[in-house]
Amino acid sequence: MTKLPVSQTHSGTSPEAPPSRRRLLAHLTALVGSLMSFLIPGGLGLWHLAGSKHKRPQGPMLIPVATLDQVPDDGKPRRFPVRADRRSGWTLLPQVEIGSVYLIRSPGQKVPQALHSRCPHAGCTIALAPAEQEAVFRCPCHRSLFRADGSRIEPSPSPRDMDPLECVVQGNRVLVRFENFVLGIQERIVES
Amino acid sequence: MNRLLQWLEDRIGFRSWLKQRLGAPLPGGPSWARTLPRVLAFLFLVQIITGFFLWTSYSPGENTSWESTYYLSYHLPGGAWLLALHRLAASAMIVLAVVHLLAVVLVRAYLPPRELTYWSGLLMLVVLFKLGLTGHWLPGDQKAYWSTQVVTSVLGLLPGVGEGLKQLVLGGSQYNHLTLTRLLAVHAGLLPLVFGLLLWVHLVGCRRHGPWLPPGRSRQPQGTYWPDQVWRNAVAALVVLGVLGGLMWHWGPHALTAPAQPAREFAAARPAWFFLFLFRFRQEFEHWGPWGEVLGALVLPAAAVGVLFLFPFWGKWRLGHGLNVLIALGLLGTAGYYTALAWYEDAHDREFQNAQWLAQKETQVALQLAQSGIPPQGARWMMLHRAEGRAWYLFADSCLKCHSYHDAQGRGYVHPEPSAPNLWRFASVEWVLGLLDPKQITQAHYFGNTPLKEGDMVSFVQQDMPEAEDDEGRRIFTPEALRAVATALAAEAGWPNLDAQLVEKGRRLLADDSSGCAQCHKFHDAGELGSAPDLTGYGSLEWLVGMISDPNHERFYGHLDSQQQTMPAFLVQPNSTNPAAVPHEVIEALARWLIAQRNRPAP
Repeated sequence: MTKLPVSQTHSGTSPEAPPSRRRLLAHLTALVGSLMSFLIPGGLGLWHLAGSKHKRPQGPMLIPVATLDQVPDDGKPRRFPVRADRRSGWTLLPQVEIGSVYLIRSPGQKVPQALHSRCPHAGCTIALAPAEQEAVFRCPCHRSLFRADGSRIEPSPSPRDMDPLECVVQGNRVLVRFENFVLGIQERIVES
Repeated sequence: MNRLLQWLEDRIGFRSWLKQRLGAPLPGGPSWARTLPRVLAFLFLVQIITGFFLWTSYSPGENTSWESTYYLSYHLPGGAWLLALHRLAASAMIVLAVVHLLAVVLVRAYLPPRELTYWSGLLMLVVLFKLGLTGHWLPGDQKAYWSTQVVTSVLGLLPGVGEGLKQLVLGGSQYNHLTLTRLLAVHAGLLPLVFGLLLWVHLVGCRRHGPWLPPGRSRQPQGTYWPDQVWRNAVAALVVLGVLGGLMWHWGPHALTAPAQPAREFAAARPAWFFLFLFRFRQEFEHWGPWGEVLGALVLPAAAVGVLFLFPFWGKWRLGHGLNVLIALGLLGTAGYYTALAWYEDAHDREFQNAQWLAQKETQVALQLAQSGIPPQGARWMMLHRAEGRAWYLFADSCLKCHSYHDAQGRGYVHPEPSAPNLWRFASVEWVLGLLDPKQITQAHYFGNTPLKEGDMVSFVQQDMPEAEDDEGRRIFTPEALRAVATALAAEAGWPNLDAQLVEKGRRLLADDSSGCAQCHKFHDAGELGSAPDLTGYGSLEWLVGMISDPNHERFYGHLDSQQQTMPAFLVQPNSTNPAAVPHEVIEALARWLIAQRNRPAP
């Protein structure tokens, strides 16, 4: 900045103030003033953008996803949508699909096992594996393979096994405590 | 840092360019007057910055534009201020651009070789108005929607090309999702781009020909652009931002009205202030038919701008210069006159004041409803189907057909010829005191324009009440006793902060069936139904719901003959003949709304 050519003449220099001090003041005003005038709208905008975080309406609750007779104890996985009210910006979407779970009930078992259908690797929805192999589940995006209990077949792109969810049976209803976990890491941490 | 700058210097000559720009000598020295165009350029950058961030939250579309504008203004941090700054900076640009233009015309700065600079500036002013217009339309609220309708309809009247142009703007034959997606593309894409190109031409011209200086003033350079001119520019920019901030603080950041309702009237529709002159000006041509419309709203304004373009051609002659100054001042004066006229007329038009009040209340209802999440069908639907929205429209369409709703200062809805009592602060102490006043009871504020004017209550208040005495010959209805009755009734209605002793005393008078109110009225265990409305729970939620549902029930005005029963029943029933009748939940929402209004100082 100071390397800029400094002119020899100053308009309206008062005789008392030494020219160099006035000059410094002019430089300072120009610098601070320019910065401030752009920081005001820019800062406001960045605050708007960075501060806009989606708040979760409530913590995980038990959500009814199926009836018990929809999950026969044949050890086969079945996928059920999980419905709840969801806020999308300004809109309140009543009872829409917020995800899905696989329910499996082994012979004789009363309470099904619930697995989150979202792949812990990159968040794609895991599908059923095509043939009768070791793998029961296969993620279509990066081919992570999982067994019926949700454990992954290594080597796997997925950093952890499929996420189990708490499952409760009340009368004929099957309820699941639905929550999402942070993707791509080994630990199972609930998404904030 | 130094090496990076040198690297850039070797590739694109950045350093020497910056040095040359910032170190440019200032012919005639630095000047405060020259900060004006620079502040304008700065405001354009402010619009780009704020506009970009607004764009990150705005969603065009028929049932997302209002919703997203609402959300960014009331839920996202800083959104309201960002939008207010964007809106006010647009207004400031128009004001400053007009001042700049006027200064240029007064000093003849448009003369060759600066014509192109002048013309690009004029075009920028035109683009500025278009930006203002399209920006005004984007929120998709009541004011935006009706402005869009009016402008595109006038556009459609243009001979030959009109209909095509209109459909191009609307993205179809009528307002739909595409109208707003197109508007956004034009407002945030095309117009800023055109403005930027024009600004570039403008700046290149300015640089090439240097600043305009008064004749005879030395062009001897004094000082350099940095810092001598820059610090002045920065101070001017901050002053303008400060003024805008002050205005925002004063007016509050919000300007969103209720979501557009195409099937309802919106009598408060007005264009943005910078188009108000045109709104009023075109009224002069209304009786000329469609051609007058085109002439007043399109042809004459376009011709006025066209004349401005011709200034450089004859400006070099004394007479031509005089003419130019006259035209410029004349145009500004005309625009100013019609703007002021529109303001003046609106300020003195009771109907418009009523419409504005309705618009304001409608907005409050919409904002309240939207708070708990807007249904997927959108805010329009929400207003028409949720009980609170329907209740508001029932109030606006049906209650205000006969009732007034305003305070003593005339704030609120002033019915020109009310045929029912004023409902503002109904069942409050003051309201009841007024009813019990022999003079006031027969005024329009109470029973003056109703069949009850000839009824028993009026004769009681005017004749019996002043003379009523107790066994010992003392006046019963002293001013203090009347206040007690009013207070006790207000207590029935649930008004807060009442004097408990007065309430107690008033209740005794209300329940007195030998000389008090219970002679005709039922009040809790005293009195009987059949000759006057029940005063038990008078003005309470339950009472209001009953009264609105069926005012001719024996509990209310069932004792009147059918000629005198002027208020219809609003509860929808199998045999109801009232087309405005609504389900119970809507009536309850209306009663709740009426009660909620009690806490407000003015309607």
